[in-house]
Amino acid sequence: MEKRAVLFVDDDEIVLRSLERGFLDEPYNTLFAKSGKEALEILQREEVHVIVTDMRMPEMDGLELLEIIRKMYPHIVGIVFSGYTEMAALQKAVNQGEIFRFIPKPWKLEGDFKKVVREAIEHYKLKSERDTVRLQN
Amino acid sequence: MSKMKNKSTSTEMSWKNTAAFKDLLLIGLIAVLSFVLVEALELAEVVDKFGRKHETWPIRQFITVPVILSFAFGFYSLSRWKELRHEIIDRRKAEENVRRAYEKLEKTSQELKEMQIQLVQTEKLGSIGQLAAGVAHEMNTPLGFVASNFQTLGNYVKKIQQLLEMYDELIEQIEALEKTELLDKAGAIEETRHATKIDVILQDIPVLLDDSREGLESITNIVQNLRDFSRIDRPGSLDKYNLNDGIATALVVVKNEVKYDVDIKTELSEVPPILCNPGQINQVLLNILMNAAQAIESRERDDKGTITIKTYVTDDDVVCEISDDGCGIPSDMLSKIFDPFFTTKPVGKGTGLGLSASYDIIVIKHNGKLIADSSVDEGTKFTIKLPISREEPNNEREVENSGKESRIVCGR
Repeated sequence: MEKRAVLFVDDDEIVLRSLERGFLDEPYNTLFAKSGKEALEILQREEVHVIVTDMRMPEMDGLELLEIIRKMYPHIVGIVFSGYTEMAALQKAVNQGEIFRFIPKPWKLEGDFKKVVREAIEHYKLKSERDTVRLQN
Repeated sequence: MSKMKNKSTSTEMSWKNTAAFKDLLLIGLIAVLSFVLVEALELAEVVDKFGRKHETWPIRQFITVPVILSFAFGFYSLSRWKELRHEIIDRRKAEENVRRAYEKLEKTSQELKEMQIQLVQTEKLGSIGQLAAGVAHEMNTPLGFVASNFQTLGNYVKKIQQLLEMYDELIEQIEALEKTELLDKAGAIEETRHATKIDVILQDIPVLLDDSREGLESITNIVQNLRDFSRIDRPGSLDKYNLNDGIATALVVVKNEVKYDVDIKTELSEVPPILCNPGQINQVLLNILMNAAQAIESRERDDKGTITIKTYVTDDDVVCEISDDGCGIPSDMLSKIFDPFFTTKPVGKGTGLGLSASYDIIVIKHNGKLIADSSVDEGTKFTIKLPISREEPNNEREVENSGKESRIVCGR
């Protein structure tokens, strides 16, 4: 089975670097984008299974990005990673099924973050298996 | 008779315009009429008993006139006394009413004063809340990646230790082992090196340390700014204050709120330090900047807005101009913006006290000027002027004011 890929999106490069080294030993590929636009470019050429995105970014914010992804790549599991808790926007996104989990900043790398990303990959697996079963039936 | 006429004339001279004069005139008239009447009666008597005329008539005249006069005066006094009694009662009633109204006013004024203190407190809490939220957001990111890097560095150290132990083992056994065995061991080490990505790690460690140092520096800066900004260590005291530094600290707080919607341009010239209450001035700067940001947000355009901050010195003042290209304020509202409770923000968003508190701080407490210019769709400019030299009496008043304020605050 091909290796899973996780795409991280944040406008702060230092954050991306800390995630890159933090997820160095995880059993999946990691990809990094500095903006929503860059993320969509990566999605065009790479197969991505889980996306972890910051909320507040210039030009396109995380929720806008997730909305586009839900339409174009509905199989991708979305995680929001943010210090902001804009409840109304989050609630909408959760209800529309765009967000699988929310990771608050500051984050706990070992316990929470890695666990959530693994759960997201597991969720992806279950979802795709379910879809396959549905197709077979 | 001629004697009385003279008397009434002299009365007329001195009491000319009083109500009593008219009364006296009336009495005089009654007296004169009575006298004439009495004399007419006397004359009748004179015709009957002609021989005794000289004895009786002067005496009668001198008794009758005072009696009539006393009656008239008594009658007059009685009517005046009644009038005065009514007047006194009325006046007492009026005085009582005035006293009650005064007490009521005083009570209302006291209540208003207490309410104002409460509102100023609310506004202060509001801006502290804003500040805390801004600062918390600002800290999330550096705190997040520094903590993350710290954990990763722990993992790095474990891997390096693992590899070092393997090298130690190899060195210990170097003489005891055959060449092929040694080569196997070296191969295992090489494999671990590769598996643990040790070369990547060694390259990354300086970057990790640099990134983390940067994060710690920004956290330190934020905390420092927050302390400078709110002057929590010295509330309500007068201090030397550089307006440019105040703007810099206010911007740290505001920048995070607005970084994707607004460009902030600063044109700061050298300004002399002024004696003021720095925490209060910072509160005003924060308030005006947040208003500017909200004005830009509310114009619903996709491009970024601009807030321009200028400082300069005139002969008497240190001046700060904060202008935005937001929605602007219609002229009929511009005159109300410093009124307490006036707000254009939706319910629950604004207290309508920010600018009225700002006015109080700049104009009343610091003897400065706060001016607003605005035109709809073009933007708004606030100008803060703070006097460079504060005269002694003003200083004292300020000390009294702040002393009073902090006392009340402590008491609550």
